[in-house]
Amino acid sequence: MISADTDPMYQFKLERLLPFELGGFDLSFTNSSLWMGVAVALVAGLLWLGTREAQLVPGRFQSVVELFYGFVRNMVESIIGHEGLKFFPIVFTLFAFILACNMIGMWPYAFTVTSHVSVTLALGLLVFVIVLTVGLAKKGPLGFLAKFIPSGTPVAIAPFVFVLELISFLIRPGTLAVRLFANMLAGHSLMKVLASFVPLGLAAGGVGFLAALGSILGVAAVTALEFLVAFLQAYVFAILTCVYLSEVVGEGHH
Amino acid sequence: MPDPETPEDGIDPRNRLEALDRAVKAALDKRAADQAAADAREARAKQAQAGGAAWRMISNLVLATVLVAAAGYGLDRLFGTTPLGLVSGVFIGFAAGVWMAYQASARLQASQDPPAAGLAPVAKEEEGTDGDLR
Repeated sequence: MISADTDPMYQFKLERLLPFELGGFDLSFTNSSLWMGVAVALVAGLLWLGTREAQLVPGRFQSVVELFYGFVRNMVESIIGHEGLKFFPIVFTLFAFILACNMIGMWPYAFTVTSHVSVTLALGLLVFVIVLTVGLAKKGPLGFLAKFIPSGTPVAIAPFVFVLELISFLIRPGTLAVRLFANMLAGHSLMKVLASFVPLGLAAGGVGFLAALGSILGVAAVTALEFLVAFLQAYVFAILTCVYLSEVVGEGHH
Repeated sequence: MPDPETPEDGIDPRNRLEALDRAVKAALDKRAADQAAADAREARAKQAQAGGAAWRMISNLVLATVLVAAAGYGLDRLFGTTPLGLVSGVFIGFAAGVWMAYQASARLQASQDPPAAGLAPVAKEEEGTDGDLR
């Protein structure tokens, strides 16, 4: 019974479109790469359309772009502060890319790039390396390590707090990655599982029709929820990036 | 200047005060309703925010435990110290998760406590008296 049509995990299958190998590494151009490209093209296209003929009274595309820009700018400024605006480009890029990938993934037959941990872990490591670099550059190695002991910690428990803070810092790329990929993976498989109940219920007949009807309603509800999750996870990723940056940019308020 | 003796809107001058009263009352009611709606929206947003924070804390707790345990398991595989790394990873990861939740809740409280501790109700009262002008 399990086939490409009903297997809930089939939608996450990677396919090599242009096989390519370099030094033992598989660097093929996959369907994932293709949809990443689509996401980038979509964001770039929207921004290009919105800023092509900038008017004092914005048109449709310009309004969307300005709203989008203002939303991320507000987020960066309210969390990191004014001097955080130099990190606006990276936060905007991350948010726009993840949001575009998540939203494209809602399209039937499209591939959800962010449902793969390799992609989200790469994004998480990117944030981690940026935060680490900025922190080391701003405070120096010792000052950076001192951040792991909040001021006012009793000397007796300082070593434990240091270890816990260090660990919670080191697992950040992991938490960022797992949060995003698990949400997308779970949501999309749930949609598929519910959807596959419909033909099964119809084939069974009798009370199966009721099950099919319930599944259709369930799929509709989960789809709506997934749109929310798609936005929310992009938002959470961007917010956490800002929070992590604010810890190394702003003066210590631990 | 229109002559006060001949009203243009056709309302008897004696009823005019009542009409004005009604209009003012309607406007005040509308303002109160708008304020209540805005308050409800704000409360909902705050609740959603707190819910999001709670959800993040819980997912952090689970993720920290799982990730550090996985790292411990990796060390086990590298150095052949099974099951020391995995076991200590579970405990250290859980401790780190609790610590992160503690930090997050402390931050949340710091950001929400001052207005909730008495400033907001006072401001509300003043607004109320302000709206009582007749």
